[in-house]
Amino acid sequence: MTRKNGRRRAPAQNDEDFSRNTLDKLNHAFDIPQSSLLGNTQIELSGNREAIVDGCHGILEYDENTIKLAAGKMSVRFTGRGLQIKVLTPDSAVIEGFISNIEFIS
Amino acid sequence: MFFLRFIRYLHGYVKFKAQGAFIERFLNLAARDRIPVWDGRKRGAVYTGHTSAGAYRKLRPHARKSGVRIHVVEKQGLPFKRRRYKNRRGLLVGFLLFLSFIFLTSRFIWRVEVSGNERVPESEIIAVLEKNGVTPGAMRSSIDVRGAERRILMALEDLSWIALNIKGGTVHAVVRERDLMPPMVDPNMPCNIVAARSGQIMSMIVYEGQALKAVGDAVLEGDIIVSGITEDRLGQNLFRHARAKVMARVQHQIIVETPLVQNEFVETGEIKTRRFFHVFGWDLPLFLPRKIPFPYHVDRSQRLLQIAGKELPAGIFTERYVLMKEQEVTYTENEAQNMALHTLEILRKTQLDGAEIIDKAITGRVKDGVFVLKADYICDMDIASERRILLSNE
Repeated sequence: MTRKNGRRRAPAQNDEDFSRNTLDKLNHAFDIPQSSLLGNTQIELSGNREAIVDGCHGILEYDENTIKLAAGKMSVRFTGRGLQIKVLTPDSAVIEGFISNIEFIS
Repeated sequence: MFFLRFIRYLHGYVKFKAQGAFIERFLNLAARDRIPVWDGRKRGAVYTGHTSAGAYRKLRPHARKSGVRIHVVEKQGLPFKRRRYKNRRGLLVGFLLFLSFIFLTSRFIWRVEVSGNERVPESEIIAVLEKNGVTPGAMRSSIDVRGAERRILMALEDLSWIALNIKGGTVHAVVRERDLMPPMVDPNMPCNIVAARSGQIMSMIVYEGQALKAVGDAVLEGDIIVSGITEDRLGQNLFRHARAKVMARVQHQIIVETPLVQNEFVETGEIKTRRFFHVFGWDLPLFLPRKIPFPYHVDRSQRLLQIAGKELPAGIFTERYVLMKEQEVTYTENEAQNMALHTLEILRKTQLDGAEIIDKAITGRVKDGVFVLKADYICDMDIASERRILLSNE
């Protein structure tokens, strides 16, 4: 792809990778939490009874023993007993129940 | 959490059931549309959750799109309650009346409490407070606190400080009493110390003046014990205010006469009761006015309304009139003696106040239909009494 002035333009994918790398470097340089600049999923656990998932984009699987949430490029699976989604918003979810396992699937 | 529940209650919410194969898709669509769904639980193919009353309708298209059937299980919250009581205007009127009653009553003084007083009786302070407008039934806004405090301090000289704290419908009057000044001794007024009673001096402390009697001397009532006229080295007379404490052993006799036959008022057994409704200092009679024949004695009792252990300025006052008649009563010698002993005790307390009784002999007999009780006391007491020296140029 060329512009009018003849200079080559990088593909969109490369642009995204470039900005991600830059933000990653900034994160390391200033010791800022990853989620704040990169928009990674943030999971906050209260023991094994509650998990607040920030940055989730939907439910993939839901029953009493398993809840699988879409979280960016990967998905997170919570397994346990009596699991329920207490609150669901477009970009977060609160899971309650006896959580016995958390699995990240990419 | 409480506030969240309260807000949800105010807006109203529904509990719904969703049934179908694609509950996840349904929930994702709802979340994407920013429809609040909370407290969800899935059992098998049935999902139970809550959503706000207004948002339930918005769920329907998403349910259709995801092949899920939804229906309401329960409706809760204020909008649904309001709908239920929509036609019951009386409730609203009652509620408004209750609010206005609370509003109106909170503008009045209901109780007046006094604390910090020891010598000055509470009734006296309350009477002065009442004169200055601080009384149950007065409007809170009509009380000039600073002015009332000043006026009360001027009216009650025994108080050195007062604070009127109005808290709700109660006025707390916190007072501090003035320390009493000891009696002033005028050094320019010359006086002698004379014997108030006849007796034998047992001990003597002279603070000022010249002692004319010594310990062991017998004195008659009116004798000068300490003179206020003294001489200096040059032989000139000096007039002083003599002061002394003279303890003397004195004899004192008290005679009590009690007639065996007396005219007395006795109860007829007939009782008449009158009730008043007392509110904010007013007594509203709850009876028809009828004359009560004299003689009688009256007992008053009050029963004030209470809320949480606090008395309100409203209640029922009861007057109990016990009718009496005059009747000749004959007492036995024993009864007359008991009555005489009771009177003797009262007289002893007034006549021999502060005296230390060394010995006493009490005899009693009936003479001409009268029981005569004779009590002879020997006691130690202060007999010093100031008597002014009248000078010719005064």
